[in-house]
Amino acid sequence: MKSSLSFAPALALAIALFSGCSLSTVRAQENERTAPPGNIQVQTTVFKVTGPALPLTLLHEAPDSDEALFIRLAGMVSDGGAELTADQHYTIPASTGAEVFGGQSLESVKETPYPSEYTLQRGGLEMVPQSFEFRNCGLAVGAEFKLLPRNPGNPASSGVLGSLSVESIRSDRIRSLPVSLPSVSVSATGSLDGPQFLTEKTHALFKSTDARHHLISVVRRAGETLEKNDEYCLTFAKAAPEMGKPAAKSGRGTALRLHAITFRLPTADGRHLLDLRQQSGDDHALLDSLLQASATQKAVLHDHSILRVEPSQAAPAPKPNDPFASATTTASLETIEEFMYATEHSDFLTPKSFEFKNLGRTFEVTADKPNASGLTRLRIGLQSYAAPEIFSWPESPENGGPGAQVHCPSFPVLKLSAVLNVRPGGAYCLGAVTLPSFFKDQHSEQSVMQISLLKVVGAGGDSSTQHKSAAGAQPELSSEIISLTPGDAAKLKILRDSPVQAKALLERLTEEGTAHSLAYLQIAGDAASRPEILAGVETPIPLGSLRTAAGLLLPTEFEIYSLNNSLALLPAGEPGFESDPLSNSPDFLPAGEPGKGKLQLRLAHTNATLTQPTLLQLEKAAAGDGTLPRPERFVNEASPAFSPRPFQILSSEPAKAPSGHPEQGRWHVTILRCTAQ
Amino acid sequence: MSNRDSLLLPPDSDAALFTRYQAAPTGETFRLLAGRHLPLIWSTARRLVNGDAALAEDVSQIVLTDFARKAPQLPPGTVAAGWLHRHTCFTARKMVRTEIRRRAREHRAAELRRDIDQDNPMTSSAADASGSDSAWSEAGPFLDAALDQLSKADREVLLLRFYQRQDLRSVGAALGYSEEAARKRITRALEKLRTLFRRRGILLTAALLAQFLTEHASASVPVGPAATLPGAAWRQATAAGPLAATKPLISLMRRFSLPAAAVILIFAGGVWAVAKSGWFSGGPAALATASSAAAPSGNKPAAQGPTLLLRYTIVDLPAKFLAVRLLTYQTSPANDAALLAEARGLSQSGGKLEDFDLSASLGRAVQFEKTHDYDYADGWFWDQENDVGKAMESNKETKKLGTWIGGTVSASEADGLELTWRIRHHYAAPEPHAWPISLEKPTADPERSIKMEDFHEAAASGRSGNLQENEPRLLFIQHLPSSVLPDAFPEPRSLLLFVTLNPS
Repeated sequence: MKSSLSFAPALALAIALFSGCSLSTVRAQENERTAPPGNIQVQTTVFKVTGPALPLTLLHEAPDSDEALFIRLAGMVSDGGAELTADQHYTIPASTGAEVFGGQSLESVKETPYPSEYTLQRGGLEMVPQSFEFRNCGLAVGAEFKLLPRNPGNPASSGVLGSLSVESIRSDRIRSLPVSLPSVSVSATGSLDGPQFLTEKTHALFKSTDARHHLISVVRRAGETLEKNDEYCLTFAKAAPEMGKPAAKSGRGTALRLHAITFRLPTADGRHLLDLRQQSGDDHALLDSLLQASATQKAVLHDHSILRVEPSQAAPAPKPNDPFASATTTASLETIEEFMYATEHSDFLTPKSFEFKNLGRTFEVTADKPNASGLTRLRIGLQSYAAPEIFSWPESPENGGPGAQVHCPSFPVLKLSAVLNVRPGGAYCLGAVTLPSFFKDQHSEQSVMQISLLKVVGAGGDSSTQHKSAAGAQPELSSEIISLTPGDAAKLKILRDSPVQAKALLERLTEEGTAHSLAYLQIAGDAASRPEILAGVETPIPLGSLRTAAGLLLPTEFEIYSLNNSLALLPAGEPGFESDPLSNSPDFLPAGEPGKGKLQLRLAHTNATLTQPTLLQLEKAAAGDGTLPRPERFVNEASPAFSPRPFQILSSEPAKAPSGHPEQGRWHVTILRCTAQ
Repeated sequence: MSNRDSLLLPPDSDAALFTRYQAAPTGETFRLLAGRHLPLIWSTARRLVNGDAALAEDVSQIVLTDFARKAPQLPPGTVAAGWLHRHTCFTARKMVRTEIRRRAREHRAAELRRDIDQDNPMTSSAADASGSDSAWSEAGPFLDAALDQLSKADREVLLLRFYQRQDLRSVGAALGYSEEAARKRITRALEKLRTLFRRRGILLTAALLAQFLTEHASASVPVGPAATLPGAAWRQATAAGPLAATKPLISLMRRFSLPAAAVILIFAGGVWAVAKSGWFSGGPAALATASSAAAPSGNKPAAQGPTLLLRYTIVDLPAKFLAVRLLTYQTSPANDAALLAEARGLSQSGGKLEDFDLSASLGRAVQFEKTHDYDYADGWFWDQENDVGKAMESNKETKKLGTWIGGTVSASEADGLELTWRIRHHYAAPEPHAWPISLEKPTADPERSIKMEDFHEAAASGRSGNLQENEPRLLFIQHLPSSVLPDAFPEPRSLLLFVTLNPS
């Protein structure tokens, strides 16, 4: 990393004193010529800060104070507390006429070549790039704005409305792909240098009437390891009519600043906090508890993304058959690390062809216009692909020959889709999910839960005291799979007609330790909005093997297996799983097809073990006389129709688990909790 | 395949024709080659651009032009069909990416319009139903990507058999196999292709896949492109100057809105064509160009009725000079003049400042070019004769480096003058980056690497109003972070562009 800017501290003082008028002495002499209507001055600026502290302070600061934050960051650049990574000033055309749109794009790029194809030489010791492709690394800004009609009450404050895209791509040529070398002259695994492209991307509608800087987004910066990178990018925009005078005091805007915050913590602690939330109905208390837990290392602040949205009409659906239909109609924020991995290997085990997988996080929001009671409907999408775990097939190299292994990445994935009706100042639980046991997690060996919240900040700042009862006001569905002894399951069956007593029994058994929660999943949204949450891994599993020309015996024909915990609420009558849909106990399952008032859900919980092939299995498969072992995967899938009730038991059945699995011999009970559907 | 092998080839085979073209690249041989491979290129391109015939035509022309230029340098034994398929995939994807960006911008603009003007909502038309054959419509879009994932040998055997529609004997002859070996290789390659589809959740039997490939892989080319493309590509390949590289984009202008197409054209470096055809002005345009040998300042080419002088000033400064102050900079005529004066002073101590003067007429586009050709390698082959072996350059490309700058002055709505401008500027010299080729770590021998250049470029376009004589106006400020600069530049920099109308 090259050194950051260094400036005299006096410069920061000068900025504070002469904010917005660094050349004020000259400006004082400016004549009063009026500019022709139609040009809009735009500035986009990106700062980089280290640590989550500064973004967290914004939970309680109104967007009105963005200008002060900008000035503060400019000062921090001077004293080394922040780094300026982009600052673009430009003028774009617009007019008050019918054809009002003007756009501009600016790019400052480094065309970076990277090898896309190799040829193997010197008996597998060298890989010579045969062809290269170029990637434009750097900053690209796209902007399209129009002048808003003048406000009769304040003619000087004619504002602008526009669409803004800021994309920053960096290239660190440091990614090393593990490459097994069969040659005896090389004792260890070598590696192949490949490109690593890192991207932060923001797209948002932006309305401004005050010619001030506004915070558009905050995103954790992409890095070599997303989990560990603690740098945040803060993107600001300022847009105003050319030579227009800013309003002396701007009115309150309609923009909302949305904070998507995700925590990870032990499942037991997470369940406890969610139980407290159920009782208090207070999502602010849940957020405060989680922030406190992260401050004391009892929870991990996994992500904090901020996005400014302008509530607007829902966008028209793109044409389904349009090949260019990736045009987004929502505000979005992305952090992408392009992970290159080999998909095909030569006889010498060197990679022959590659694919890129976009790791990182996406935060997408579509906001409708507020209704008469001031509620804004938001559709939220959160997605994250974490750094992969590299599986080596076979695990013991001697199985296939000296040093002969195929390395495959296994990608952990989290997806959440929720719909909420929000007010400025509110905090909302978006969802919660227990990570599958095979999910790579660096923080803990024990069961881990992820809880995602949304904090909405509008003009005027944090008015959380007015909206204490966020929980319970939103349609929500939660499902929990609890492990019981067969005896306790029998007791529960007796209480099937008494949900209150059944609930009390399960709570008592959990407290005594004879029952435990295997998976807890919660989503927000009504059936029509199809909310969904998923945590899982995409793992390549070998299906066959071959003996290479170099005499190596190796797994081959990899197929991607998805091993997930997931919950989705579907519109009534929609099919759930195509096969083996109901393994539920008829004792608990509501009878009949989806009918009036009933809802449809899709629930999956996976227990799996990944088994390495033995030498014998590899040899047999290579000879066409047998197959490699598939993962022992037991998916508890259900897609029943149900009536929305505060508490109900969906099913109770013997656990399906691989041999030797601790859940063998136990019973699994699936519970549903439903509010305000 | 070596040159000696080629003597054994039938004289009218693709491989023989290709070898003949490599030895003596003539228009006649090229047209024959292009005609044989055009169905492969056309059908691949059309599939990748989802049926857009005009875009497929552009892709085909670019691919053929590149083929005409590069074929003589390709290593002996290259299978033309394999090279053409890969290059078609690459070119088509690149053009689709450009289209996606353009459509995304237009889509957002449309969204914004609708948001502002509720009385005039945007309407969306229903999409056309696609393909009657559901299995093919599912698999078709992935076909070329899947082929790209196959090994070179597998890909070539399928291309020759299904795209070039060669019989087994010809496939075998072209690749040095027996007829039976070719049949086995095709079967195995089909199976691998089927596996790739299966990973995408598309289940096809090998027989069905073969049937699909036979029916769909290589479509017949419409009469128009079939007749014109080979000749047009040959003319472009043999023509000098960037006009050749941008000509296909003219068809974009025919199909899309003028400003959007103009932007594409500018970024492709094709301002010559624009200026000559008067796209910006609607009439004959003045054209100002200068070679790299010409002095950048004071260039005043003879234009029709020159009445205006535009002075563009590019300033490149270490960011520490101004960056923090620029954060709160407010553009205005007086501030811009003061900033330019200050920048002129600062450029004396560690910065760069360059003036470009262009004569202009009202409503006519002008263009200034200060460039030089830069050759770089983009292909290598392995030198077998050397004892150790060494990667040798097999192909060279030429890139124009330097500055293009231009614009059109026109009357603005408010009785003033406004400038539509654009610039493409290489702000740093190419910097070679060494890619190690040895897998042994650490690599002891520095020779065990090949070098490929990074290119550093800024590009922008826009419009600025209220131009007054002898009054500098700021067109843009770009902060260049370390990540886009050469490694030799340890600190970020600021790039500023000013324009002055009729400077005194």
